[in-house]
Amino acid sequence: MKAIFQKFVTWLDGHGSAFHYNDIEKRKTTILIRASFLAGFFMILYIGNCYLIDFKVGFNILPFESLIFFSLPFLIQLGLKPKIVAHIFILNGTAFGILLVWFSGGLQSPVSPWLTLMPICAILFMDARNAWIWAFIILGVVSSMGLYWLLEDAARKDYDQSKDPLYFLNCYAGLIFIYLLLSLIFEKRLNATINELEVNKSSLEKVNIQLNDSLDTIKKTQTQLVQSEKLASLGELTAGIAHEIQNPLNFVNNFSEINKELVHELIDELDKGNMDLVKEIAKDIMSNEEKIVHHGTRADAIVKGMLLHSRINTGSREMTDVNGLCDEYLRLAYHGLRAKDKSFNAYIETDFYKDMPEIKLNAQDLGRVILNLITNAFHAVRERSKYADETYKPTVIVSTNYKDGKLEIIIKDNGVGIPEKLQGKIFQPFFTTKPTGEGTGLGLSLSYDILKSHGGNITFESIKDAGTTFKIIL
Amino acid sequence: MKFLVVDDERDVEILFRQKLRKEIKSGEIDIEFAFSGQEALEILRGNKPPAVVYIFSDINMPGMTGIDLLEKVKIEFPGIKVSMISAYGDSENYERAMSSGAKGFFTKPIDFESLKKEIFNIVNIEH
Repeated sequence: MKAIFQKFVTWLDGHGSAFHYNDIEKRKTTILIRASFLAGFFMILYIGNCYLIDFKVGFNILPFESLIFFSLPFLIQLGLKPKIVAHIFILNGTAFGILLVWFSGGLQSPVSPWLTLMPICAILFMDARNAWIWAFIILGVVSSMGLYWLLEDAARKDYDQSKDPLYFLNCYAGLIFIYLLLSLIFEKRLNATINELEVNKSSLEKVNIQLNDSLDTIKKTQTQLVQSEKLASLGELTAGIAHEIQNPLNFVNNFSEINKELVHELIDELDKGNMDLVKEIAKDIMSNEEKIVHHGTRADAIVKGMLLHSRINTGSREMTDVNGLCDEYLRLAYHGLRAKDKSFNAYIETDFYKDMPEIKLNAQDLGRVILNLITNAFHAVRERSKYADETYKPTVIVSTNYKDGKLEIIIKDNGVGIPEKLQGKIFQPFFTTKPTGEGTGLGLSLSYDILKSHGGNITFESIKDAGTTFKIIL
Repeated sequence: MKFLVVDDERDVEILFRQKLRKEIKSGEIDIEFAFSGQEALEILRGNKPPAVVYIFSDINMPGMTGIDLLEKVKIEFPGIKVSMISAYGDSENYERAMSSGAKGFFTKPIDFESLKKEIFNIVNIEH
């Protein structure tokens, strides 16, 4: 039995596939269909009621009302828009309702409260706006009828008035039942909405947690990328550094060897008693030792610089010799590039401000920026030398200046230059014109960030196939 | 006999002068220094004919490399022998130097014993 009923309900709820419903519209249409059947059924009951109270008008017209109600679901199946069908429903109920009211005692008829159902149905099937519209329509019609009854004194009561108690009982019983049904429907809808909200809320919370996790991962990845960019630029330095260390170490070894020989000579001359010669040799030994210390210190500084470069930056600011920094990184970059590409060569010029004071800054950060710019300059001139003629002299010039308390470092090259349409992009992270694997694209964007955090600025000018000039201002 | 040593590191001059001080003191050899290829060429062009008979040159220098200098010297002063000194002892540099006409190839750190032998040979040949 239940199965048959379920089947009936499913068939009942079958909507015409002509429309694309969202969930709410689907729900409302389902309610409209069920309400139509219910209304049709109630009208049949009311026909029975009319028979009992001998209400001929009702008995005659109600079959039509009932038929219309029963036809509505089929109209939807046929493809008629649910909203139109809803209006038909309400029109049906209102028109016949008013007719019945007219013939069964006007405002004193037990049918008149049933008219209040119509705006509520409008809310159920459509929305509040339509409900208001219908409410006003019904109010208007009933008010004008009321006026008429007032003026004409009596409304018609074309039924057996001795049966009034029965009539009233049936009408009010039915009405109460329907109001109860409506309340249940609304409560069910409310609960469903609350559940939906709960579900949405918990899924949003889940998504939020996932997003937070993703954000953490991205931040970690970013840190890793910055670190790998540092290591990449460190790798470029390695060859240069190796070369740079080799020279001072050679000197340390060579001068130490010479001093060994000189000491032998010293002993010989001491034995011979040539004190003047002894003094001379001693002086030579002394100056050689100074050379050894000088070159040893040089190698030490290079290694320290290299370690600094790879370490996580503490951000501390120290008094720094800017000219020395520029010079060191220039040589490192040059040798680094030469080690990678033995055919590469370039002219280097330096123009350091003579009375450059020591400036408090983070040497590791600034060094990275300078290295990045110089490396870029070398790449630019190398690219140009690939297609330029023999008269081309690839040149990179590093100069420093100190004006009005502001430090300026200028790196100029006569390389390929930056095309105008790319000039706005060069500071963007991951933007690079180098082929895959040759550059991270992070160099300039990191440099920009570093300078900004120092309260400085970086500007550039570039002309295609002529050269580029980058200027750091701190 | 005049030798020319070309290297962008200034201490190389002091090194050479100390290592070869006996030979310099005895007058057997005389050493001049240039700190760039350009400077080397100017020194060579300073005397006609140039007094220098042998050049030791570093390869890795900014501007004109040792190889560039070698090629130029071979064109302008074909009688002068050129040997390379370099930190990079790889075959690529060696091949390039030799095919451009270098007499010898010494790697850094400089083995002054073999360098002295070379100088000794040159001095003996000339005499």
